[in-house]
Amino acid sequence: MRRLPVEPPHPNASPRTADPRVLARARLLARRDFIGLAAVAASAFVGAAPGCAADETTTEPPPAPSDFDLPTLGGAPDTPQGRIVAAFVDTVVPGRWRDPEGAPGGIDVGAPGMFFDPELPAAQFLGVLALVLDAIAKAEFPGRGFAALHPDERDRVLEEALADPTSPMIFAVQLAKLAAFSAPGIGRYLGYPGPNPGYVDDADFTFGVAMATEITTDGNLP
Amino acid sequence: MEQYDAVIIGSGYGGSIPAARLAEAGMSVLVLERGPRYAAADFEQSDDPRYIQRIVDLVLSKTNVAFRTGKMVGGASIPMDGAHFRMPQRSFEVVDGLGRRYWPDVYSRAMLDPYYERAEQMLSVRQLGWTEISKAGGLFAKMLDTVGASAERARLNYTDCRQCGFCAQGCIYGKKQSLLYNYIPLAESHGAEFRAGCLVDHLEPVKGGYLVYYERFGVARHAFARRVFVAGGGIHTPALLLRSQNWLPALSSHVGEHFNNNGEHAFLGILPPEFDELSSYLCWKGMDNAGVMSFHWFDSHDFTLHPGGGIEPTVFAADFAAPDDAVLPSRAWGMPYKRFVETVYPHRIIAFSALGLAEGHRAVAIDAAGAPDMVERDRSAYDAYLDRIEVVMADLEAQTGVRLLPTVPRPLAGTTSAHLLCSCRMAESAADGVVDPDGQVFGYENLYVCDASALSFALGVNPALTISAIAERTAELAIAKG
Repeated sequence: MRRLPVEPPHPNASPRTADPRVLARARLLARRDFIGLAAVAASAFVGAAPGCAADETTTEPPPAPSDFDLPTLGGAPDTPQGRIVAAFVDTVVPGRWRDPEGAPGGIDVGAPGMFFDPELPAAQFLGVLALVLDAIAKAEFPGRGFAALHPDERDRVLEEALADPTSPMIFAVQLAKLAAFSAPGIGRYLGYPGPNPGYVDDADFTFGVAMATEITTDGNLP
Repeated sequence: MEQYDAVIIGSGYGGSIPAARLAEAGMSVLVLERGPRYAAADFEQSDDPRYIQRIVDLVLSKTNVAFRTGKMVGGASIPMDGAHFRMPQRSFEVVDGLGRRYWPDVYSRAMLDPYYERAEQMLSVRQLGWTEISKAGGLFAKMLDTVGASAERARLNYTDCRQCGFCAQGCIYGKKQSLLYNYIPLAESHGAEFRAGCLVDHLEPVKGGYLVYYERFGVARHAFARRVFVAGGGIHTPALLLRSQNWLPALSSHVGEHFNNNGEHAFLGILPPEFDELSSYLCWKGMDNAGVMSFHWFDSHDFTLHPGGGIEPTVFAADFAAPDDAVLPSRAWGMPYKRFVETVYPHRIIAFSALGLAEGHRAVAIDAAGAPDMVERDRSAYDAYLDRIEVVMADLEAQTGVRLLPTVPRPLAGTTSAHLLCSCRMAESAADGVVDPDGQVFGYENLYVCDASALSFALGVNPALTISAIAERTAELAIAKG
């Protein structure tokens, strides 16, 4: 097969890719880079957290971890990482164990388990998620990991983790909410219909009349 | 070695349309699609992320970008809401900082209208009647009417919609006229082959055409074609060209640049309590596309507004802090947020997005393994565009009592979108873009880019129909060329 001479790399090509000898097959997701960013964020949190701890350390004795064990891990494995993720999901969408009158929470509908599904993006940054939360927890509440904290303390840790508005942790929070509220979960409790034959025969689905003035004849602007 | 008159990479609008037209013209056509092939019976009425992940890809990057792309035969025509608008003439006339049109001179609404019409007929696009518009759409229109703003009934590709609310999940009833029901069967009836599960590595020009190197089921393969159409979408098309640049050394330096999310900026609108009197409204009753949109601010502020439905937008509410607010929780997670969702969401939330004539602020690159990635570019023009939107939103909030929340914090605005445009943009010359006005890659005869990446600039409306119209034109020109 005829090969063209190797030219200087395109400005958007990485130096390694520019060399055809090491050109790897395309990959669908650039997950490793996201993990890399999250790792940077984690190290930033680890570095910043002690300063925060100096200002906010409580004088009360820490509660025993067993006081705040979750009633279920919501599908997460019973490992240190699994307990952190379940506590994280419970912090984002509180479960019925601490909200008995409200809707089910993330752990009640199996949301933590989705973080461990290898087919979902969350599985790619589980380690970093646990690292960040535990690092901040141990800095703010010496000697105690995230899973061992009181729910109010977990709130403080998550607030700290989200202090940077560009933090990748925002995506972890959104995934926890998506996993919890989507149709198989809390959404159904709130009235989301799930599988259905359609509402076309239900007069309640539409007002059926014009609700505003139109300026086009067919929906397209000229 | 397999030989074809045309190999087409990608089976969305930009791939299936040329496949149908070239096959109709008697050419042998192979379409390589990285995803699987599904039929209506394979789709589910589910928002389960595990199911959603089967039909769309999230491209995550070191810049926190999370873009959605279709990954199946039929591409983005399947996980989408069915909106198909013609691009307003004003969008063709946008100029850059030097006063030069982004779009090539030959492009205008009048020039594309015959191709729009052809695509609309194939895709069964039509304007909805008010009786087909859900209460979510009706309340959105009512909100705009309150401030004297107009709202149009949308143009969608549904026939006899059941209004079940699971359009973007693939439509189990086969009522959304995705490519599975028109161009793809037309192409196959003329002998085109759609081959699923094919990951294309790179292209190489050889005498009389191109070799397309790809992998299927772990086996490396290649096919020869006289002409190649790249239609992998706004992220995967530039990534493929960048992986091929050692064999395509004359590629424009604009490959991957100018990536544009069509100015998409999403909000949640929390309706005031008095809107409850209108109905026992549930925002998820009815089709995903709420069926209306507004051009009211297009001439003055460069954006259009589009409501949506479904439960998914709720979870993407930005992290916000409003501890003394009567409506909003103090933050977008935890107990206050859960209570907020329980009490407000089922009855009083409308999700909507602005689309507009915004400059891009990212570029598509590839990592060491050749996978697509996103890199940041200057976002000052994009931020100015967001400023224009947010001025209007603040006014809308003040006049209607509707509380508006952006779905991502401002620094992350533009990090998620379903509109992935302009990363191999069409231009008059290689000095400004990647493909010529006929869709052919500068410097490479019979190599075409035929998807959202070839658009010259943002549209301000949903891009599917314009991608289709340009694909019709590109195919027509390629056939005429012989």
